[in-house]
Amino acid sequence: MRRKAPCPDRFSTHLDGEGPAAEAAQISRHLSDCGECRRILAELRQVEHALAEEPLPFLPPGFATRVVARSVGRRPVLPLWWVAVPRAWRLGLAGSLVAAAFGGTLLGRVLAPTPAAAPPPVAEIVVALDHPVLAALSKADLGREDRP
Amino acid sequence: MVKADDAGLLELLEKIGRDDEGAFAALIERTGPRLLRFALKMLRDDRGAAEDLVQETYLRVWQARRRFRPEASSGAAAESFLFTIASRLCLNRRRLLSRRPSETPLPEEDTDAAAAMADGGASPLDRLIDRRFRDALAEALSELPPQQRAALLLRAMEGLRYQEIAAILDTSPGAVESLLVRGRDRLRRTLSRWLGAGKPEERCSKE
Repeated sequence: MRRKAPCPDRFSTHLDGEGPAAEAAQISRHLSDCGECRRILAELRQVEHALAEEPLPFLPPGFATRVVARSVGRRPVLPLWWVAVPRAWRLGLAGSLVAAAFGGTLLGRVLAPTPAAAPPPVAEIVVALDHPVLAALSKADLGREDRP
Repeated sequence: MVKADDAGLLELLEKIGRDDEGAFAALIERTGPRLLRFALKMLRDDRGAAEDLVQETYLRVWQARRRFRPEASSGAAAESFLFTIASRLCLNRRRLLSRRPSETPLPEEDTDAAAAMADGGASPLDRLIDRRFRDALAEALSELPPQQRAALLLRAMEGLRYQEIAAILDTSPGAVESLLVRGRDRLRRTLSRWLGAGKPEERCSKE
């Protein structure tokens, strides 16, 4: 005859040895009678072992040295909201800023109005009109215009 | 959980509190691989992101080095200190929450491998099967909500107790128990073809 079954949700706690002793005893008694619950517990154990056996990765060469140098250099730590932004987005944002700055400069140069040639200073005009060669030319021109 | 090298860890943190860079490098060498493994599993095996996160964790450890009091702490607390920072950085990453669970079933060939494993796996294909099972496990793990994933990893890989996990995840031991129950149950159901030869689940009769 089967004993009263514990809730399968309690198997997780039983697996970790975190539940009360009385409950652990009740589960153990039930397991001795119930193949289905034994199977569930065995599967939970399998998953747990597979996770626990995950191999430790290697740190990249020079990782510790780089981190120490960066930390001791007192570089300000980035705020959490910035860290939360995925790396690709951060790179994209940086790229967009560079592109915007470059494009803006280029566009500014293309669209800027060409400065009009400044009229020569009045003093220079006076001096030019007083020039003997110019004066002679002007007289010749005037003479031609006067002709019918 | 108190490990044999906990005293060494406390000593390192004490030295780091006195700005000892050598001790800081030693701490990174000693605890870095475990933090990296945790970060990898939390960030769906994205190596670049995981390394960034571990680096960020140690930067924050250095910043907070004077706030940690080794004389009032245990080695377990020293580890919790590291995993608390790493977990919070992981959980703050929005992309953990953004990915939609995939509905894609395993390819047909995986069904054969699953059947072989369920039969006892005593074949030359053992390694291949093991690799496929690990891939399936990683996929199933990545589908879990981040808090469930963190609780499972801290329990299974780091062997932390509910109380310690609760402190790291800033929640109660009861909530940790609930996270573990739901996370394990979901993994078990997702991986059922690998674990239980795909037998339909019977109901446990209660008296």
